[in-house]
Amino acid sequence: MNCREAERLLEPFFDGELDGRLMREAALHITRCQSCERDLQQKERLHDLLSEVIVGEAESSDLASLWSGIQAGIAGDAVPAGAIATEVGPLRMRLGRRRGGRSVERASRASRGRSVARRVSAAAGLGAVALVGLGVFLLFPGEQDLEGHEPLAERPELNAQREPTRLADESRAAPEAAAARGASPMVAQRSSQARSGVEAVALGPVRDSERLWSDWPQQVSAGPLDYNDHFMSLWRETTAR
Amino acid sequence: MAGETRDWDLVQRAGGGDQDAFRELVEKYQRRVLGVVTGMLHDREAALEVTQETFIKAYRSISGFKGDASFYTWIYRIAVNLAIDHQRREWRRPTGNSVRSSPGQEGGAPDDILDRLRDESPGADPFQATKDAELRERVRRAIDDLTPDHRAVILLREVEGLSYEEISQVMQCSKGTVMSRLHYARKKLQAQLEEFV
Repeated sequence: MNCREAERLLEPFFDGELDGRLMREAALHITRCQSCERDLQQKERLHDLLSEVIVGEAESSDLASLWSGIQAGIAGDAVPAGAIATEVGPLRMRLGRRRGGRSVERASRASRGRSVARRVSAAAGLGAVALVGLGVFLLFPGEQDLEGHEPLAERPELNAQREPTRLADESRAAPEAAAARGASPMVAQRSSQARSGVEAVALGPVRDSERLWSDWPQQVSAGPLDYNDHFMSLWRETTAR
Repeated sequence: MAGETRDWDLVQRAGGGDQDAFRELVEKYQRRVLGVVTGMLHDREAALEVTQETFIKAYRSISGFKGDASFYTWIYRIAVNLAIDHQRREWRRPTGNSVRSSPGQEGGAPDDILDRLRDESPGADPFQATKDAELRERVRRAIDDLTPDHRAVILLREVEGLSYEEISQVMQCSKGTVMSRLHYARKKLQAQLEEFV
C-alpha cells in the first residue's frame, strides 16, 4: 500500500471504521510511513482539542432547571398553538429577559403607535369598505342582491371560485399590496409579520387580534372560507372599538 | 444493547403519557444533547433553550418513534435540526444577539478575559490561563467557520463518538456524505489550528 492509497483509508482507520483486512494493511503502512503517522497524530490532537473545549463548555452549564422547563413545555400542549411560544418555561423566559432591554422598549413604543394607528385604521377601513361597496354596486348593478348582502363568509359559492394557491400568493404579496394601497403602517407591518411568522415569539403574549394576524398564513393555507372568516373576525373586532 | 432495550421500554411508557419514564430518558441524554448543541451554537443559554425544546418536541412526537433507529440518534436528529434552525433565525435577526458576541462567552477585551479567568479559576497561573483561553477561542472560531452540516458531523464524531452509520441516521444522508463532510471539516480545522495540532 502506498501513501496515496493509504490517504483514503487514514480517516476511517482513525475512526475505527475499517474492516479487519484493510485495518491491518493501513496499520502496517502507518508504522512505516512518517508522513501518514504525522497526519494521524494531528487528527488525534484535533480530537483532543475539540473534546476538551466543547465538553468543557457543556459541562459548565447548569441543567438543574432543564426538567422543570420541559415539564412546562409539555404542559403547554394544552395551550392554543398561537400562545405556545410563550409557554415553554423558565429557560425561554430567562432568555427573553436577556434580550429584554431592547425588546421591551421596542414593544412599548410599538404599543403606543398601535393604539393611535388602530383608531386611524378603523376610520380608514370604514371609508375603504364603503368606497369598495359603492364601486362594486356601480360596476355590477345587475349582479348584486341588495336585500341579501350577507358577509362573504356565509357565501361559499363565491369563495369556492377562489383557488387556494391564488390566496397563498395574495398572502405572500400582502405587505407590498398593503403598502401600495396606502394602508396604515400598522396594517403593512402586520402583513409583514404574518408572512414571516415571528411575532408570537418576539413580543411574548399576544392579544387575540394580534394573533389573528400572526396566524394569517395558516388561515390562508387552510382554505378560502377560513380566509374570509379571518377577515370578518378582524373587521368586527376593529369596528367594535 | 441492554441500554437500547431499556430506552425502548422507556419510550413506549413515555408514549403512553408516563412522564417519569420520559424524565429518565431526559436525564440519560440531556448532557450529550447539550454537548452537541453547545458545539453548534457557541452560546450556553441558547444551547440550554434548544436542548429544552429538543426534549419537548421529542415528547410530543414520541408516539411516532417506531424504534427503527436508536432513541439517541433520533433525539440527536431533533437537536441538530433545531440548532440549525436557531442559527438561521439568529443570522436573519437584523440587530439581534450574535452568537459570538453573546454575553458570558469567550472573546471580548483582554481585560474582560482576565477578569473572567480570575473568576473561573482562582489561583491558576494567569499566563497559562490566558493561553488556554486563547486556545479555546481559536478552536471556537474554527468550529464556527464551518457550515452547520460540517459542524454537526464533526461534533457528532469527535465529541459524541458516533459511528458513520449513526451519523448518517442523524443527518439523514449517506455514509459517503458523512465521510466526505468529515474529511472536509477535519482538513479545514487542521488548517486553521495548524499551530496547535
